[in-house]
Amino acid sequence: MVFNVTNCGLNVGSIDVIGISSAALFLIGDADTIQLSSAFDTPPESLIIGALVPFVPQG
Amino acid sequence: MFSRISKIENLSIKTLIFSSTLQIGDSSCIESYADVFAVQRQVPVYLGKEAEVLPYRIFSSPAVFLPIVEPVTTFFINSQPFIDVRSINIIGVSASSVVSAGNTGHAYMQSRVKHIRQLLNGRRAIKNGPDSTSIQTNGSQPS
Repeated sequence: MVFNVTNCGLNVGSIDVIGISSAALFLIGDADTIQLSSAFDTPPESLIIGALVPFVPQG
Repeated sequence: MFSRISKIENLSIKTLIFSSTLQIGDSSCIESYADVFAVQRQVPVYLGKEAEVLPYRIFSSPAVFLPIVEPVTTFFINSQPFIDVRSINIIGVSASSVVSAGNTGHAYMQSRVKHIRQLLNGRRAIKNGPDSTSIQTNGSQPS
């Protein structure tokens, strides 16, 4: 595959961001390759109702 | 490789926490990981050392990445040598995130987040809800 790009002028006024989190990337510039992976787990079973039990017993 | 230069007149970041990076200038490689275990409890009792080992599958399973399989030949024509940004205003950067002003070769970012809420038993614990004693579960406790 051959990919041709012509970059004409790029002028940005202002950027306002509240938060960049969880291994996110905010890039002003050029990049060769970018690979991203994200996993988020909050299943219904993650709501635990009952006595507060520590997750890992301390040794 | 690249010939464009990032020109930022004004950059303001209020907070950089949890291994976040502000990179000014070019870099050849960015690699970043974040494993987050977020526990919210109705009663704020945290023993401090309970999550030193995280026995959940989300933290040990291999990351899902789209592999770079196809060889791509790229040609860039940069008719303007600058990327111009007048002002950037960021409030917070957190959890292994990267703010980079400049070119980079390869960027590889990975995050895993596990959320757990723990509520107390009994009617008083959840207002206007069903009898909470009937929805007891410990399905997310490590086996």
